Amino acid sequence: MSHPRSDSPRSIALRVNGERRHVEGVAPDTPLLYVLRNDCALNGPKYGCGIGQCGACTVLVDGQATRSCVVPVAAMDERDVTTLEGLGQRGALHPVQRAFIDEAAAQCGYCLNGMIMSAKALLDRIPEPDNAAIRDALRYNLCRCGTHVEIVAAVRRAAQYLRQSGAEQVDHGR
Amino acid sequence: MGGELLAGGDGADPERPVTSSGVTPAECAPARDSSRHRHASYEWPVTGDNAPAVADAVPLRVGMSLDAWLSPDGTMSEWRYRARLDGVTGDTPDAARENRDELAVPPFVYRHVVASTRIEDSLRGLPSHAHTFARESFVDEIARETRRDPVELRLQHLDAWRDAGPVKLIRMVTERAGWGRREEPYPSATSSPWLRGRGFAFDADVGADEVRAARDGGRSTRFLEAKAGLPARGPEVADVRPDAAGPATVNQWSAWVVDVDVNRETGDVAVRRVVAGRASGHPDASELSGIPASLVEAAIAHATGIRRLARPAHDEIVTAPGAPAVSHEIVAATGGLTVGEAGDPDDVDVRGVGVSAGAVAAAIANALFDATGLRFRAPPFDAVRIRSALAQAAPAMLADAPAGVPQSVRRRRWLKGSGIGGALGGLIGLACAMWPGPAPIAPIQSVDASMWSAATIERGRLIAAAGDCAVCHTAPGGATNAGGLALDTPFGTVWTTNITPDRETGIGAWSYEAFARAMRDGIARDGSHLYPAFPYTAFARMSEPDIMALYAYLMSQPAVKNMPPKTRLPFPLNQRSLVAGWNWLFHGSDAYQYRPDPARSALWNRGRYLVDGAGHCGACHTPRNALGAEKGGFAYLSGGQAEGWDAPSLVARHGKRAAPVPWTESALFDYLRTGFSAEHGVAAGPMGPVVAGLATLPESDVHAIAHYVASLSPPVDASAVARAAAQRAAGADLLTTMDLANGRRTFETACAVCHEPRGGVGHLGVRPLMGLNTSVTQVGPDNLLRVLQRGIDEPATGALGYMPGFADVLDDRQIAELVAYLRARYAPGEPPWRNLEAASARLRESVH
Repeated sequence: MSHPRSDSPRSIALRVNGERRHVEGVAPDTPLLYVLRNDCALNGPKYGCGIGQCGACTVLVDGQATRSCVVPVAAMDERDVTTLEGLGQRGALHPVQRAFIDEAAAQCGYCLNGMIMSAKALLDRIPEPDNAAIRDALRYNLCRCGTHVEIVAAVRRAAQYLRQSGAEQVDHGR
Repeated sequence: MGGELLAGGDGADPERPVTSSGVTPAECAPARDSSRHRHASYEWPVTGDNAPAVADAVPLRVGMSLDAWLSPDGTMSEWRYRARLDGVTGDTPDAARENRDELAVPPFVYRHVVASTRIEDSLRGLPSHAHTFARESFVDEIARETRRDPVELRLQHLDAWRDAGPVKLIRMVTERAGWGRREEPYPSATSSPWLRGRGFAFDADVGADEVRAARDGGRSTRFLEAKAGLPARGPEVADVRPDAAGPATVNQWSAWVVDVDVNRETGDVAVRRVVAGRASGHPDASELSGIPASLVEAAIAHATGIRRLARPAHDEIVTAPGAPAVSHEIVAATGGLTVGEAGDPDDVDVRGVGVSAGAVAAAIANALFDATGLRFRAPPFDAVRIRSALAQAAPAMLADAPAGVPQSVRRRRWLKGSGIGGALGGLIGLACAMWPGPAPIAPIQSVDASMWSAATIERGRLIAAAGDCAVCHTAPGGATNAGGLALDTPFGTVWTTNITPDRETGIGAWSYEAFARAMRDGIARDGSHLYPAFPYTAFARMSEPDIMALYAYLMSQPAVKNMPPKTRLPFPLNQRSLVAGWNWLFHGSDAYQYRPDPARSALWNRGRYLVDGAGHCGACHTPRNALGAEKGGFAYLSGGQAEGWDAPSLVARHGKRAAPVPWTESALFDYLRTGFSAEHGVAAGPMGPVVAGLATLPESDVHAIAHYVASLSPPVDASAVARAAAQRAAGADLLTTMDLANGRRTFETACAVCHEPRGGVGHLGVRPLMGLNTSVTQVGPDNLLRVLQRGIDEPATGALGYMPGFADVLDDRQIAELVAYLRARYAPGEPPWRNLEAASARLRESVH
């Protein structure tokens, strides 16, 4: 069994944004998103649909874009979780965050966590994506405001920032 | 006497294998009780390069004469050994030269005995394994004669502390062999010409080495002392003495259990199985390991004159790749391999064969005695000699062998009477309830789990994993194996029982006999019948050592007090004695014991043993008849039911596909090992925990299962499968799903992120493609509906990722539209499913 069958609350150890955290009294099948928002006070990931469709809750698990609303927290044993807060801080933003601000790629902004985290996962894999690759990568992140054009532009700008900064920026959690 | 078939004790009488007649009064001290004296003579032919060059062409042989005096408690108190190379037993009464000591003296390896040894080896050609053969045969003779267990007698002559390593080795090997627990004799022992026997031998290597070293190099510093003053042409006489520091530091031991079949008409001997291990190092910190097959083969060839192949037995767990097996299955050599081609056993590895040839020959001789009651005291044990000896023996004795044969332990199989009860039960139904059922087996107070070796308990753990005991015997959130899971069967709900060693609520009061009876016959300790939801019909095929190891493992786990709900099936199924009739109909004698197919590879046999035995794959994957018994023949593994899920067919035949694209052996391996095959999908439903259990097995066992299951279907070409997979993954074109727009929209929004071949930035876990998924092509929609509604929240491994359930998000109409779309697009050749909305509603209500 990958995780215990018991649903009774217990203490769970997590590694979030490079820090070890112990969360007490959590049922192992609690979605990771709930623990991040309610117990770790990390509200970057958003609750959108709750069934892994919209992507607003995306975090990185071992560098892999993951919909945190459908992954039980017990599955995070021995894995590194990175949330939006782990990318950069105020005053030291991650290039992807800077690019989204500079392109004003938000209207309501609810989807932005997912867009930024997915873009980060994409650029880690493909540093110079063309428009088609960007659209393909983000096609399952839903935006209901219609900011798609700006978002695509922001990902291209992010690629440019990353290229300019040359070396990898400080990247917590990796 | 060299021409005698039975190089016997003097005047060997087959019916009295051990004779004391060869002892002259002068040798017997007056104080000794002659009834406690045993004597026998052995011979060992010297062949091959090992034989010293002599002028005449007379074959050389070693003559060995042994005497033992027994204590009133049946152990040996004195031991006298004479060996001489020229074929004449050096039995000169020369008490003055005898060297007596209580320490273990090579080549005598046992303790607590005053041993006197004299070896005359003028030609320096006396092979050390001759000593081993004589010693191990003679100890067996004494044990059988005094009706003691031959292994127990040896253990009494080893020291629990100083010989900790050898004792551990003997226990490991005998547990591995199921020593003392007989396999089922042939179905009708009287009509079959084959007799079965089992023999044991033990050897300590360095003692023999020291003798050889002294012999070869003449460096008789420690043990051997050449005796001066003998006639010039007379034999060189060496008295073996312990050196002042005590016995030699014996650095390698081996223990052997050999099973033979003897044909009472032709005299043919077939060695069926060799269980052997060796240990080396310091006596109390030794490493245990198996024995290379080549060594086993050479030793068997040496003893029987026939070259046969040794390969890992079907119940052997290969935990480390390439490690020598402990249990070997012996099969006919194919391709005309002869002794000469494979190398004469005395050539192959003189040291290695020297270690094993004597012990194997003794174990075979001891097994021959077990089978026939005849003692063979000179190898090789070929058919001519054995047939002749059998012909000389009283026919009456062999007619009903092995019952008339002295046996250390000859256990009757339990429950022979229930066949009658079962027959009546099957035929006249309820009358059976009044028939006396199987007897209870007396409870035991407790089991000392320390009596089993760590190796046996570890084997048991792996067998429990292969058998998925904990999957059914653990309730959600409950303690492992404490029972309480509800199994929905077509006949009602069966609650699984507590199989932890708790005395009141578990199996703590179950003796091994009770446990083995439950595993094979489905009868609880108290004599009541277990329902066949417990797959004893499969477990009956498990080998004795495997059932024993499983018992050792379960009994060494923590006891958990937990009383699961009692199973209450409706009348008449609540009459458990009816199961006796069911057993009579569906659990025949052929279901007991796995019989390896020698024509197939060891891997195939291992796979089949796991699939049909502990793995009980057929319990879910074989369809059952109206009475709940697995169907045979072409129905074998052709798809069944499990906890409300459709268990897909594992066999493609007669144009019927088992999956959208054929399973290859490597795809099966991936699926069983990781829970996912890219060409198929993920393990869902009850298969998830099965894969989780398989993940703890050695990789070789999963390979074996995949190999066997793949062999049931026609061979497939991997590249053709890859092409077919790519084509099917794309699904039918858009036109065929034009009228299913709602379903398509649901798929694209809810499913595509994980299940479309492309797009997205990936996600945690695998990407199962619906065009390759059995759940879409199956006859019924239930598996697909179940996964859709409940998702996969407990995947076989965490690496697979998680699927959310959509029961609370999509209503029955939406689910029906989605499923209709999936069927049309990804199973274009299959008929559409009907009444999906009702099916979805029905499954929402079901427990599983």
